[in-house]
Amino acid sequence: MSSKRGTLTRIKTREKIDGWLFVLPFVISTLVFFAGPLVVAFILSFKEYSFLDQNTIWQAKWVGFDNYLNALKDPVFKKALLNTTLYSLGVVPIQLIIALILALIVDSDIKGKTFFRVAYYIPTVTSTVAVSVMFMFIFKTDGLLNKFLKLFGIPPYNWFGDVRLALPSIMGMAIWSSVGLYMIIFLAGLQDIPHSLYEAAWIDGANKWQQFWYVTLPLLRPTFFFNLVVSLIGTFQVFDQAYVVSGGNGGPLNATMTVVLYLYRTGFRDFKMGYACAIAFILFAIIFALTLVQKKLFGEETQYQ
Amino acid sequence: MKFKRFVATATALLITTSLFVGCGKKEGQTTEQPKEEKVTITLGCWGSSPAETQLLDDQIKKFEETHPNIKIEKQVITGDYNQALQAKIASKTEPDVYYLDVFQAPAYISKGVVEPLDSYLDMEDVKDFEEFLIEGFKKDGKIYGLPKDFNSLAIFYNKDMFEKAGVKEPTTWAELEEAAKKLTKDGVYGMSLSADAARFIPFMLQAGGKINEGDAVAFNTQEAAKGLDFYFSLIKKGYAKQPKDLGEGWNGDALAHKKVAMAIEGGWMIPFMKDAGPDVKYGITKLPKGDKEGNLAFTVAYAMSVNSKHKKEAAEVIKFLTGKEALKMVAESGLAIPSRKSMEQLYTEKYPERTSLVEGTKGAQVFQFGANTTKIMDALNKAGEKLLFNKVNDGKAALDEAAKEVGQ
Repeated sequence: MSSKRGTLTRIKTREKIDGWLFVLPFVISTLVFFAGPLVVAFILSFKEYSFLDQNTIWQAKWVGFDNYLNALKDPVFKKALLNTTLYSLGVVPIQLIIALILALIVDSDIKGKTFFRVAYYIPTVTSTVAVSVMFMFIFKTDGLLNKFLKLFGIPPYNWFGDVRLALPSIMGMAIWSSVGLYMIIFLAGLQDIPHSLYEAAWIDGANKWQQFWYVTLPLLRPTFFFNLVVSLIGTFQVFDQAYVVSGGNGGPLNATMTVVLYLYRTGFRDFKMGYACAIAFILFAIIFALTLVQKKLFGEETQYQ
Repeated sequence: MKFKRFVATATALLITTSLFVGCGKKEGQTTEQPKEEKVTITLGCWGSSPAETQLLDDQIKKFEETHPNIKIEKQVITGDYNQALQAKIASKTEPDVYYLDVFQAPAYISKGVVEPLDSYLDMEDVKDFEEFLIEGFKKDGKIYGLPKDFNSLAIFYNKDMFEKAGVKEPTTWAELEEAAKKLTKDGVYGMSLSADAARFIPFMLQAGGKINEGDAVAFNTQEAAKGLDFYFSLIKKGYAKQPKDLGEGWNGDALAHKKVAMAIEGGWMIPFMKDAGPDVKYGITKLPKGDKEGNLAFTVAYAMSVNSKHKKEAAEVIKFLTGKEALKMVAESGLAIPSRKSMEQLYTEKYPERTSLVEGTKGAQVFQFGANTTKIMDALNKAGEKLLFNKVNDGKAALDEAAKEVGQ
């Protein structure tokens, strides 16, 4: 009895060791490239530091909460936060609704649905820089969009150069380029719903609309929650579109200045890495809080089976 | 069973270690050959056009021929040069010698990462450099970089359009406005002007304004505002357009695509026009004179890292690459104006049509405004945009707000 127990513990220990060995590459890379920098960035956010300083990160001067307090007083940061919030509020709902509609279309029995699935997904795998350059071509003053609008007698706009239009233009671009990703996830969610539920609903006399409202939507809730969280995090971290379109300066008149673009500029252009880290952690706190709120609203696990 | 475990462990270790391949320093390679006299100096630069790369390679080759004990290893930094260099400096792996843009110079110098060069230099020889260029790399009387070449702004104009409209090369503000007005017809605009401080600052200087006084802001004056107002009045009166409003990327595109008759740009236009607008017959003329001459000079220097282990050799590299022989090669290539006075003549002799580019540098200020350079540039750019979008009544109001922004 006791020897058997011993063998069992030995096997268990070995399994543990083997397990750790297998995950070791990932654990180490996470520690070195993710957790480590995260801790350092957190420490830096309480210091005054730039990469050009001759002293090390550890010797840099502590400034307490100054970086955080300065951020709250900084008008450009506030503007960046406002822009990012507007961007997020605009992009997330539209993007998810379009993604859901597209998913419903490619989940139905229409002809050539494989083609549509691929076509809708292609923008997602295209590099955002390439997408931005392409959209700059479309949104140019003598670009495709203005030529198209001209057919209806609408005068040309300088889309990315106009204070009011620049941010919405980027929003349109972001929706177009990422809607495919959320469509795929919705599609997976849709196909996860057992057919028997629809059959039952049909027998109960539910029409298509009622089936969608009372079967599809409730069962899509976890998928919806996942998409909402991912999309919100993604939009709050928007950087490349704004960077390419404004040439890195967030112009015109800070109309396309986003939080991440601003922290990049403060860190590498104004040599204030500590301040940039503080901005990053404020952004983290905002995203974290929003995710918790969403979890409260949408996140309870529901089982129908 | 044991063998399997060995394989599993080995695989896990292999994957783990392979993650870090390439993270290690490569410096060790030179120390492996002990006691060899040959010193390797690393030279950090950004990637540029094939012609410029060729020029630098030729210069390096010449250097290695005359200095057999020093080898130059070129490190081309692609992408965001400033960001990459900062990361290298933070990890103390920066090149011994690197390009330093005059715009970034104050930040780098004040942080103490650049070695002062005075002790390595022959001060008589330094006098050959254009003073206003050296000025951009000085702090407290010490020289922190030797400029390799420079460019300044001029008016590039379409000769055919000028002829057809019967317009002569403008030399004053009034003539410029008149010319722009006459040239604006048939869907073509007189000028392409961008709301970019690097283009409108010369006009502020021409009006007698200043940008900075040491590290303090000095642009919120009536004079500077006059220059700003004049620049944007050309757009508001319809004689000039922003390149973006013409559907073009920058002033150069607008001129190359014959959408405008004039554009304010620098020597980099010459290779560009060859490619983008080979059929455009263009001329170059000095910026107009306001109350006085005013222009900006864009320059890059070779600077030395304070952490360099071979400072004497690094100084040799810098001195050679900014020396007469190397700058003669710059002059002959025509890619930029050599930073030495003695070589400017060579440049204008070889390229007589570019004489106005060199002449236009008299009264030029280097593109740098003290310790607050980036803040000043951000604020001025915004001031320009505010004027353009009518967010402020006039240039003075825009500049006052900009001064306040820098002060924060």
